Amino acid sequence: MQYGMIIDLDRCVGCHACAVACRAEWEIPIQYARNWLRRLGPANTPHGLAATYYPGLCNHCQQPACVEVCPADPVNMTFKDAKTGKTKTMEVAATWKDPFNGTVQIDKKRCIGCGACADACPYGARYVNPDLADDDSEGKADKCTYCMPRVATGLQPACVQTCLAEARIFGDLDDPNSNVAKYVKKGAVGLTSKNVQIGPNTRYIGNKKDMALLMTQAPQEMPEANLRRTMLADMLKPVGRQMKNIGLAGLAGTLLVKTLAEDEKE
Amino acid sequence: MAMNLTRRNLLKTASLAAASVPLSKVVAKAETGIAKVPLIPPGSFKKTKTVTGGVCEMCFWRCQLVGKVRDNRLIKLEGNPKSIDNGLNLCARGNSGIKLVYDPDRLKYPMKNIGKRGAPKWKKISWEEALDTCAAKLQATIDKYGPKGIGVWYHGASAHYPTAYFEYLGVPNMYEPAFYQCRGQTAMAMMQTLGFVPNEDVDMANSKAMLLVGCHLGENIHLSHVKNFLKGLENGSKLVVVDPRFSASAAKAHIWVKIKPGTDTAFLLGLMNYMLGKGCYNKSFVDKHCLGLNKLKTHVAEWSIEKTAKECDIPGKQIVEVAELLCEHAPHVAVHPGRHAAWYGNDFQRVRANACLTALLGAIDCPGGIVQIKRMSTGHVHWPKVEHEEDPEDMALAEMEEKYPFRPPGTPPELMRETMVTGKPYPIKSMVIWGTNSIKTMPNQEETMKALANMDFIMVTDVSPTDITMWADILLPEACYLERYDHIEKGTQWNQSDKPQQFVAARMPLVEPMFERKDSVWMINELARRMGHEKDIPVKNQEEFVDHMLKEADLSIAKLRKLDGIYIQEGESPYLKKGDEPEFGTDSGKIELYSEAMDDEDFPPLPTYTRTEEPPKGYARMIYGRSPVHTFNRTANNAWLSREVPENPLWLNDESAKKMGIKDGDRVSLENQAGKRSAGSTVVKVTPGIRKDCVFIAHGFGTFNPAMTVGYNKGIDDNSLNTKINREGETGISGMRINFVRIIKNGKTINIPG
Amino acid sequence: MEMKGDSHKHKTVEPDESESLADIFAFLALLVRYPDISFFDNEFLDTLEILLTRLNLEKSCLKISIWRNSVEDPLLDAQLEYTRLFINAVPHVIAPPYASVYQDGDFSLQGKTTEKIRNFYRQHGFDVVVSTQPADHIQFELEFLSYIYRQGQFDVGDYFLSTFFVPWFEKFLQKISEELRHPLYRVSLQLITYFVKEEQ
Repeated sequence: MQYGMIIDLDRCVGCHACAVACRAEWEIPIQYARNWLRRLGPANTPHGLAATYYPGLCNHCQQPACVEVCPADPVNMTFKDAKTGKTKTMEVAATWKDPFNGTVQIDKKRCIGCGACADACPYGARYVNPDLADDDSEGKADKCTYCMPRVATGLQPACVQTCLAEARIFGDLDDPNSNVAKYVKKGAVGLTSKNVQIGPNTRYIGNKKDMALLMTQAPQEMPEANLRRTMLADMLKPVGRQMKNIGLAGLAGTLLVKTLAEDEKE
Repeated sequence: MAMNLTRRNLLKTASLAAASVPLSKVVAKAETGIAKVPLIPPGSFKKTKTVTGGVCEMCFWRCQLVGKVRDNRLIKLEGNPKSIDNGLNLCARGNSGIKLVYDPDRLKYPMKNIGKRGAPKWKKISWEEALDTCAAKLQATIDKYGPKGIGVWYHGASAHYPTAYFEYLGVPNMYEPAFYQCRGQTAMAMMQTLGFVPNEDVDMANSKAMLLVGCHLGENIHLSHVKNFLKGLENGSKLVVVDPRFSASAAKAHIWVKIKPGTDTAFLLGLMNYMLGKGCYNKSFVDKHCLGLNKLKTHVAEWSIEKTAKECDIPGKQIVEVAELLCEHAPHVAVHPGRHAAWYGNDFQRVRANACLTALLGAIDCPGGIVQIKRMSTGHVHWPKVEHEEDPEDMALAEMEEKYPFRPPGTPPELMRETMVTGKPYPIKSMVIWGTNSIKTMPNQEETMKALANMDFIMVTDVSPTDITMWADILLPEACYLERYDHIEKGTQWNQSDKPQQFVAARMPLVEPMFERKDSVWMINELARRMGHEKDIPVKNQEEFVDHMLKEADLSIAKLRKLDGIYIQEGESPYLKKGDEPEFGTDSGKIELYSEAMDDEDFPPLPTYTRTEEPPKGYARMIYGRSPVHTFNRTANNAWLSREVPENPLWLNDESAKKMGIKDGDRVSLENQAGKRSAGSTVVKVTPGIRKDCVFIAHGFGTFNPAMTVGYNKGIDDNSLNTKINREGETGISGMRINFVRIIKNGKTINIPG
Repeated sequence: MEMKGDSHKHKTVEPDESESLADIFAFLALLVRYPDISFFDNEFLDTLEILLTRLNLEKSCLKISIWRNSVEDPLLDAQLEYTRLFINAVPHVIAPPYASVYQDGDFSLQGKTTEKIRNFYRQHGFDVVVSTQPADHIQFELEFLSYIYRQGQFDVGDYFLSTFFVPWFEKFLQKISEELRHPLYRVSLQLITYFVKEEQ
């Protein structure tokens, strides 16, 4: 099973509902987004004048660049197939590709918030969420989960449910009878380029001119892994708490107490 | 010195011994907001409750909602699963409603302005004091000038009960922007021609061709309307979009007619001339149902393909192509009636042309055409009819001046504004402004400010501190659409070819209002009590108000609650059955291609094109439209929506931009023909998707009230540049697309080559 | 939440200290509550002056004293300024005194932070009752601290201060600082700042 999403540009009207419903569903800090929409054109394409949209989200790739760079200590984790109940145990860091449903997920407890995965994603689908900061980190990596907690209770992902255009279709790409698989047969493709071929499972379909415009948004290069940053993050883990305390102690009592003292001196 | 001590150490020093500072005595006097309660096990609040009964008002399409509420905190809004209109879907604005509810800039308490109008100083006052003041001031105006001394500007569902009260008081002049800056002509010209107001009941889903003239569905998101449009495309309907700009609709069109702004009526006349000349119009329909065909034929004869092409600056063959396409698919052609029509000040005639074209195609009451959708009916709440010394109908300004015979309901805003300034024919000295930001909606803001300065008293009710609230003497905070009862939404399943169903949904609160926000029924009843009208109060509270309206449909709030907010019953197809004849509510009972009534009032009885003024050299026409995530200026302060679309890029033709040395993403502001400059700035979108003789910005940006902290000064306020208006004689509605701009970049003015 | 209120962990506290601190926080809460006639009287302002004097802040005390005597109606004057700073104003409401506005990034009431703070109150046996205001209003947070300190739960109070109160209060101060001209509110917020200062 491989969950995937199709975005039909012939239907999309660029209303931004997907992005906002996602924000509401997961209370995403305003500076970040799991779901975004870029308005493209009107611009000339080889196939004529076009205006379309780039509704983007995590691609839950076949070869996810974010997973392998995670420096968190690996642990053995047992996965369960929701359908068959079959289990599989594998060694994973704090982010992995689920062997049964194909989604890429994050363990917020073990994530150290170093941001290496966010750097590694050519689509910019990840961010470090400061709301999830704990004693050992400044935040945790966060991104689209394909709404797995919703899907588990029988709901559609929030962006799919709200889409008035029915431009977003979610399902199992491995099931040839699924709508998503049918769209792939009809020519839905991922946002890839010569140098970025990691098997995105969010795919787009549309007329030639719109697709030409959309493809201008495909990342052209894989980001260079920032090893130094990863190592640094790893080294700093134990002192995180200490640093945070220092930061907090410095907060209060500086700004205004000083003015109070100065007021007194006047 | 004490500054070096920590608080704990400080407490140990003798100086703060409890006895020496009488803290406990002072704090014991005041009641606190916190009290000890049993410990609730952590986790129980994590589950949300689904509250049904919401009706959206982020725009005026009024989708049906449910709220996900946890601990009395609204977490998320979703489409009501029972809805046969929007279904589970919501647009970006609908999803963002919670940010309106919880906007900290919202009005919270009644306030009194103890500063100046326009530069207020607010004192929080009690409801008692606020209502006493409003009642006394309004009564003083009535005593001195009669009820005609009061004027009302209003908008939205919450204003229904208040306007009913002011009607009862005998107030003759009320103005609603929904008519006078938006849909007025569409409604009135359709009425005059077809004898009914189709609104936007056009069956795009089942059409074989669609014609949108200056209508950009997709940027204008009315949810089930867009579903309807997309269904049409899915079903293979051929889309024609007539627009100077490659809009969201044009991007999906089969034919984009890149028309010169202001020439739409000529285009429609050209289409009709071609059809009448070729005889490819719907003869049987026209013969049976239309009056004045021959007169129309003669009238449009001058609009040859060549002349039309030249006037509209489009290829002649495109006109032929469109005309042939529409005729080929008649009557299953969705000629969209349009919505906002106040463009050039000659718009009544354009809508008439649109209606005549629809009639020539016979595209009425059939699949794909304009349809008369059969909705359930509900009741109204009225105050008792009372005799007034002066009949309010006679005292209405438009009536007294014998102007604007085809005006929509209410008084044309500029007419009221002039009276407020001049005191002629009688003084208007008190204003009640309910839920409308008239500074923004009416063109020529300086005049509005002058009129307001002249008032004895101004009372404003709103949800947020919009620009107009700065002019209030008393400012009243209203519960928003998710916190109150008011509107009854009635409709059908969104696709008319599906099994016919009808629904009724009443707006019911999803959460309690915070602070001291109140609903309009409470406010008006309290006001009425103070003005001595207690015995005539028709409903006790908002629940009774809604129940009263529901009663006619044999429904109640209690019943609707049990039905998860929506009542659904079997409906009736709007398509004519075989053998049935359509009915038209005109004087003649037929579609009036030629209008006797218009002739009687000395207006052109056949749809007539008048040229609009050309941009002066160095300027381009400023055209405006919608952003899909904003409802005019109302949503400018919504943090989520502002994040999605923070400002309104200026669309500028790529070839012009090149000559001007302007690049995509440059930051610019605008100056209009009168030298008026925009307060804000925006980025340029350089694109081949717009003509050279115009630029485009979305409406609703550039908020100038700094209290709106999110939206303040983001983008350009198009309306601030609409210093020139063209008021049409038929309706008194002002066209606004007759203003021209050039660009200011880095302080330097740059002409736009034509 | 890590705090479970393990009572053995509480530092031993002299009863006097606990009561004094509780009284101080209750008083601070009053300073940021909408001034109304029920508590805002001469005695209240006298107490403020005495407190300032005891803290050796004679000049601040003098400012309060001068202000009281220079305005016709200190209550009205305080109300106007409170409205401008914290409720609604033109040019804009200066600094809505709610944690979520500063912590949740989207300038909103009733945010995630509000929920977290209310849950914290509840875990420790308190809740906001009879109010149409969100639970993270500065007044309620200070009142909560007062109750907690009165119970001698210094570690709970300190945890609340460092985890919930100080992070938003710091941003709140930044937002308000340029507009903080009124002697009463300038001194009030300075006092709060002083009393939430972390132990070194």
